[in-house]
Amino acid sequence: MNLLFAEDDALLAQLFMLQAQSVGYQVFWAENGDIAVQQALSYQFDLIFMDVQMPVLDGISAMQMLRQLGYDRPIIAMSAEKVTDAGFDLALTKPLHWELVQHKLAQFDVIPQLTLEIPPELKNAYAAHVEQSLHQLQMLADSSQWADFSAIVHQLKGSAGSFGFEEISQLADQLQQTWTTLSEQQKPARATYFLEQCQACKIK
Amino acid sequence: MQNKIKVRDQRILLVDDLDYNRQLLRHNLTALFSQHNLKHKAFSYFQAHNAASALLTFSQQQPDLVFLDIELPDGSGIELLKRFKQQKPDCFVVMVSGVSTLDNVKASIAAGAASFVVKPFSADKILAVLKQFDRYFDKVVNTAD
Repeated sequence: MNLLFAEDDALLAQLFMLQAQSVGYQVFWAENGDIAVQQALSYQFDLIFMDVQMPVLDGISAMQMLRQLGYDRPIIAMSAEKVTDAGFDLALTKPLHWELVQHKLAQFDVIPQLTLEIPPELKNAYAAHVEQSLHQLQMLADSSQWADFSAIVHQLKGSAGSFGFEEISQLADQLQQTWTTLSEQQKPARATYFLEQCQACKIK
Repeated sequence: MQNKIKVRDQRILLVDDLDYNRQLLRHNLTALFSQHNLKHKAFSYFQAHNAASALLTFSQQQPDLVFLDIELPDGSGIELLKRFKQQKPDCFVVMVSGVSTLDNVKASIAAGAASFVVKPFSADKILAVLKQFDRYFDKVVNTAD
């Protein structure tokens, strides 16, 4: 079972992760409501534990935002005070007692994961598109046309993961994150490094 | 009293600059609609590759469900979303983005988005949206009665 544990207190989070992992649960820790919302939208979690008092975005607002966006998987509130807000499946009183948590966890089921259907001809066509894009990126890098270069990197980042090329998506994401911090002189080397890494990925 | 209402096909508009993304989405929408116990199964699909053509297709077809990429080559998806909601307030618009920052999500909700899908696409994300659309459309139909 995959759990998302949203809690700003790092010690509490570590304790929960140790206890949960020791009995076979996978836990991802989100340190505020903002990260919790972003993570929840990946739809990789069977259950969310949501601390009510958190910085950036509190747990109630995070839950309400998710519900508004149609998120229909279970969310458990954690608070020292009584929680009566609609939208939570359950409220646990802090401090948490692991025996009780385990007992409550048993009420929830693992949500079967669906697989995205990628027709082989579409995957092949997309693979050819990636190779063409890499070729184009090489030419743009050679002529220092960085605006067009960035636009194609952005497109690869957004699309490659959907077609099973997660590595390309990740490489594009890493490049995007560092790109704005680079000087004009640094860009060609970073671009070459990115293209070499992409070429090393199995595309066909 | 006339109580036989002819339910027309739901119209779906897919807006993304990359053709492969639209094909992938359409293929999986069709698959999920047929595999899962959803009420609405008959669809007509329309596609647009940029903001200008999306606006034109929207005005002509008045779709019920839109998957709208936030980053379009000729404009912002959020601005487009506002125009869609002006034209057809009950339209169910799903924003699609590679960037799931809180600002992006909040701006989408504020402009009238019903849901938000973070790229890369997964079947679980798409199914969650379709279930939400099913619930929403029931309400729209019931209120209209």
